[in-house]
Amino acid sequence: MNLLIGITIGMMIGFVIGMFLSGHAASDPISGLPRIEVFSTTMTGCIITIVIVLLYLYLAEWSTHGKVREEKAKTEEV
Amino acid sequence: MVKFGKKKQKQRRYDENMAFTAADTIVFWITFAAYLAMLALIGVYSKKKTKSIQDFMVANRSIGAVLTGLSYGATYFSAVLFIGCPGLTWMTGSQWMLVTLMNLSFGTFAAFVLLGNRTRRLSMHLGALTMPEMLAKRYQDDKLLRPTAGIVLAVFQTIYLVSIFTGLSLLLQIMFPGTGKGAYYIACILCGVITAIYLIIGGSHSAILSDLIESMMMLFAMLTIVLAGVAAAGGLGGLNANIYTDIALGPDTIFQSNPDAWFLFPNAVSMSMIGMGLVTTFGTWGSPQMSTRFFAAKNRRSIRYGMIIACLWVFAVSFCSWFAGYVGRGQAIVGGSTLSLRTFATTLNGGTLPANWYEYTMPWLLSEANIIPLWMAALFLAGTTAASLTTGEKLILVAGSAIARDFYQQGIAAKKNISDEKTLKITRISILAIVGIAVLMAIFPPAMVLDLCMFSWASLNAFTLVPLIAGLYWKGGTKRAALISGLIALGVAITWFMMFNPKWTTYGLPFIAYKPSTVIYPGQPVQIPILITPWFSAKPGDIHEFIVSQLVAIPAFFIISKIDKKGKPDRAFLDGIFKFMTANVEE
Repeated sequence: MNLLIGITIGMMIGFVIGMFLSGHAASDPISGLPRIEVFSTTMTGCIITIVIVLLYLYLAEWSTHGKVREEKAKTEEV
Repeated sequence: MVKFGKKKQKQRRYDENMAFTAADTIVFWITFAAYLAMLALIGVYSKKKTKSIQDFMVANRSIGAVLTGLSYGATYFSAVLFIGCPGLTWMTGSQWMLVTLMNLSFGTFAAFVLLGNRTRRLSMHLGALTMPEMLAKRYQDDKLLRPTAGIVLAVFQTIYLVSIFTGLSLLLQIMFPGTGKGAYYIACILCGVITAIYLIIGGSHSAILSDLIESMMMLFAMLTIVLAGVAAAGGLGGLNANIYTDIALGPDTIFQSNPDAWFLFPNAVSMSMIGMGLVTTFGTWGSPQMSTRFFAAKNRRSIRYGMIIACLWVFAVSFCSWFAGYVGRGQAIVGGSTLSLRTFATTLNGGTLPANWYEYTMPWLLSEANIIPLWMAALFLAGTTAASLTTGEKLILVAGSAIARDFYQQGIAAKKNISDEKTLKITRISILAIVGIAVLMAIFPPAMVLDLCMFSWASLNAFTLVPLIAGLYWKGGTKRAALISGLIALGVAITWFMMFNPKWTTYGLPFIAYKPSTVIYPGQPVQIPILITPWFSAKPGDIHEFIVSQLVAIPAFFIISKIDKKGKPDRAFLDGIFKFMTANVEE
């Protein structure tokens, strides 16, 4: 469950960072209300999500196989 | 003013007489024939592997990571999205590109993480081959839940199939210049017949194997069209400058008072985008044709590594699908690209402007915008046709098996002990019947391809989404909750669509008065906004039936489960399946 919460929060942070780091957070020229410039937000958000996917894959594989290998190495050392 | 500069290209002239030549159509038909021949070869090869009903339905649970990922992506996107997505971006602004982010993060990544391995293991543990079977066995209700789910699936998958055949035919009609609607009918019948024969021969093995080639064709076609379109306009700056010019020229007036709003989110029509984004994102979670991709995966590694392949594929194809509308409207055409598109749609429609003129964006980009050679456009058209067939195959397979296995063998004829061989025969007959019905309905297409597609997704998910996810994560769900909440939510989705969808309300019951529309909102009743924010206001018709039905389904499921104390499966059974689903072992 912690992993799931982490992923969800990670994606939300990714989206928000993508939105603002892209430097195109805009405001509507008529109403002055804050709005998002879509193109750069989409591109940045997607790239960050892909990075999160790769990170998740690495962590998930490590938690399955890395731990097993570490335990095995420890046992062999002993 | 939106960034990226204001470069502007020399304007190209729209030529009404420009169309595919005989040589271009030969390129198309050769490519298309080669593709169909390849499908037939795959079908024959798969026939050897299809020895049991498990082979036919879930490819004997033997699919590796690459095919799992590509198969998920290829099933996700079809001609409906190629036709519908660019048109919406063109009409109501680049905000639609944000849907890519939702499709990627939640529609693909989260679906693999949250549902992938648990769905695969649950279907294995219960020996389930279809979604209704899995739900019925999970909630231990073969009598009512299973046949009901089977019928719901068969009906709404067929409606989805109609939208695919319609989208496909809209694409293909440009290959028959001057023949009017005749091309449309030929394309519908041809694709229906080929897909049915192919599926009857091969089943799931052939559907998944063909994904590998088809998904590559789709990806290559979309990337080339979009990149060529950006280059033809002189980069992003050129696209933006041309869009400002086009908005100023009209004839559409929606963004003329504030053209910057076309590039920003939210704008006045954002509520419909949010609804559509949610249904294309979470709609995949409860769609049987997507879930069965996980059923067929070989092991947990197939899901994990398949995830990265699916994410990269969805990012590229979803982005290109929505961005194609941006690229289309950003072409420098004398008189404005919107006027050019409307003229093109009018010509193809036999002299009258069709209600869904903006759905002609992709055919317009391929044949009229002059961004790639026409022979190459013909080649890509064959690629996008492949996309439709890919998704269509799985829909037919799911619907056919829902009728034969869930409604008939295990449902109404459960006491007769129908053999698997006979069920396989009934599945094949059902496939033929479904294709026939879908082709007949597609001949009289609805006004909006994407609307019909999203309605079918919303209705399917109204019934399946909550019981499916709750079944994977919560032990407290009961069979009555699954059935009753599903039926209530389905009723809400259908009612909301019929009462408030602006394209249908004029005609009353949409499937009784099932006829094409020539004007989008003729005599549409005035709707009062029910949601008012500083950014936008939304009328009931802007709020998608998916949102409303899920808002009903979620509390209904949990409340009924809490009330229905006796309907819960026994503790040992539940402990067994949850232990199997969450075990940290490699198979």
